Amino acid sequence: MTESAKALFPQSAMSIPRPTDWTRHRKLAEEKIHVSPLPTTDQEDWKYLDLSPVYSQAFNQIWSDASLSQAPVEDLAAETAGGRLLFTNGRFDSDLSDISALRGGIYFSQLTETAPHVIKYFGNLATPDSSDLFANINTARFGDGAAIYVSKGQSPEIPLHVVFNSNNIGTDGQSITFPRVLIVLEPDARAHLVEEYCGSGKYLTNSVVEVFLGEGASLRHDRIQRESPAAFHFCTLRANIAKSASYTSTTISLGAAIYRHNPKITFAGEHAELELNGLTLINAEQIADTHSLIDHAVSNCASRQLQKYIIGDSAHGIFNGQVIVRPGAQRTNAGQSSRGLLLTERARIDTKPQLEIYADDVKCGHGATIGQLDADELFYLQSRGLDLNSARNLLLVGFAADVINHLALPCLRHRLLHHVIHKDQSLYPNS
Amino acid sequence: MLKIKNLAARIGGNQVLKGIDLEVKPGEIHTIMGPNGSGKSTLGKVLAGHPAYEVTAGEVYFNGKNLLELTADERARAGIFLGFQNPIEVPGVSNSQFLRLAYNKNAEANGQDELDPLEFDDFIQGKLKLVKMDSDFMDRGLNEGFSGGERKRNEILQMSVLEPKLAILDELDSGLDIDALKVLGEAVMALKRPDRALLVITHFPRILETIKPDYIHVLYSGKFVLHGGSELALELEAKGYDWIQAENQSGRR
Ligand SMILES: Nc1ncnc2c1ncn2[C@@H]1O[C@H](COP(=O)(O)OP(=O)(O)O)[C@@H](O)[C@H]1O
Ligand SMILES: [Mg+2]
Repeated sequence: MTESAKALFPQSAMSIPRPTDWTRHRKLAEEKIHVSPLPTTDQEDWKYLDLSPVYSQAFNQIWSDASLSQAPVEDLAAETAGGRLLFTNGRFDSDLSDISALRGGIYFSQLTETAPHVIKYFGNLATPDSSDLFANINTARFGDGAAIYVSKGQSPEIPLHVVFNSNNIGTDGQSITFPRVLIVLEPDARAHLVEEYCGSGKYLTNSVVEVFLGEGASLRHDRIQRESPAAFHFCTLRANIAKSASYTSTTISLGAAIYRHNPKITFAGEHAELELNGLTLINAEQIADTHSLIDHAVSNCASRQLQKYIIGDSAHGIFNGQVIVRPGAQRTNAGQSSRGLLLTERARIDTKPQLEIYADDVKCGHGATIGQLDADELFYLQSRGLDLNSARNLLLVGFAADVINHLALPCLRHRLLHHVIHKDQSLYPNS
Repeated sequence: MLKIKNLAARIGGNQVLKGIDLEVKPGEIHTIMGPNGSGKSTLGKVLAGHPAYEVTAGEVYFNGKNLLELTADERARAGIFLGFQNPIEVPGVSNSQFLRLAYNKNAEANGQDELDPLEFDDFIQGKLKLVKMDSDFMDRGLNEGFSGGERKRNEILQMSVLEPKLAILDELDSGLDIDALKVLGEAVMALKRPDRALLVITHFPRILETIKPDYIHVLYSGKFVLHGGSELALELEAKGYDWIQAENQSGRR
């Protein structure tokens, strides 16, 4: 097994000019890869996600100038012009990046070119010791990524947009990229980050995102995963929330044949708040797996999680929502809700809420529902002249709206809602 | 406009409609009255094309079209409107979003121009006044958290937007206080046209003081047992439905 992890994700033959600052992390991570078995469905955490379609591929990390700026990325939010870093196949694409609208007090740059006081945060959350195989592969192999650092009390006026675009057109094999994002907010800083993945062709994205929120800081984090339908997407998110900080994370996932999202958020100081929202829209044979962990390590924090799935065709959704309330984390308020909408008989969802409560003075609740579109609701809409498809789409919008409305960028909200209402072919990226 | 011949239908194993005949001409107001459970709402839903109701016999023609061959949305676009007895809520779908989409689907089908959000916003203002509804309701979810009366206002608002040829209004009066009843009754009368017919389903005759019917049909156990003019409403008001029940059970069944 250990041989195959190495063999599956070999070091790139190309020379990638990696920064020297994190050699130690890279080396440790590399060692971990060598001794970590590939996940299989025998393991509880991977029970419903069969990765053999991934394992049967050979991946190749592209790192050439030729692949840059080949095609403009479509449908990028206009609101973030002037605050955007774009990476093509993992590599900084200066032609398509523009941060001219940013002022002082904010670092927004390539990871490989950022300042030492930012770099010192790198790898502190996704440490090689605590991370799973995919995060470690990223740490060992990544070439570049985005670094964001907002100084005390500062707040960029525009959203910061990081786009990872993969275009593996014209090559036979699978390409692989290792996007990396590091965001640090100093005390009382505020920011809005939009992290977006898109692409075409066959490739694997294996990203790691580290989020550090200082005391009283506030971050809105929108994540849009609209990878190509043939892609594989793995994402590890690690966030640390200090005292009185607030973090709102909203993930919309539409693309990829196989998607695994693994956010892990830790409360490190009291009176902090977390909203973790997710909307997964899949069809065809797509598989989308979210394994989340909210760690109430201290008292007086509040978390709210809302996870929604719309599943068509023979697609398969997986949700495992772990919430830990540590001993002594009193007056924790944790709410989790997951809702699945199955559009066909073959659509499938596996949901597992996992509340582990070791404190006694807490308010914790969870609810999980799985259902189909309601026949009376459909009739009501149809009786007003909406054809079946439009009626269905409107109900899907209604179902999805409370997650979509958490997106801070109006144009992202509109784009998603618009897809549903006006294109009768609905949201599905690959239909 | 509407011709119903010997219509029978069932739902969930219940043969609810057992042979209905009715003809409605443009400009006419017909009222269907009857005790609870007699099949009034069922008739409305069958005419509007609810797929859960199975038509077991009979024919329905609407402006020459075989209505029973059309889906619910095709019937709506052909000009049939059902105001629901209990309009359901559709959380997350905003009222304005829904209404504009409905308007545009009908406009498209009838070769009219579609309206963009701004145009629709202008267009809806007068309609909101007609049913005395606050424009805040447009931003709320469709019937989401609406009271019974607010839902009924919303139904008549939808009718005013869709301009149907035949409006079937099922128990418009249920859940309404006297003032609201008057507002909606008058709104419906304001929407009356020579080319528009109304089929007013009601249990209580009170609404007929505002919406004066040309014909009243009394439904009992899935069949019409009595036909008359608007004077029949007074008789039912005075006597209730028990005597019909008694008469139908004792003799002519
Ligand atoms: N979904 C259903 N399944 C079974 N029976 C039904 C259903 N809906 C209505 N019915 C029955 O059909 C009959 C007529 O109902 P309805 O048309 O609602 O009457 P009304 O509107 O005159 O009060 C009632 O006996 C009712 O119980
Ligand atoms: Mg009824």
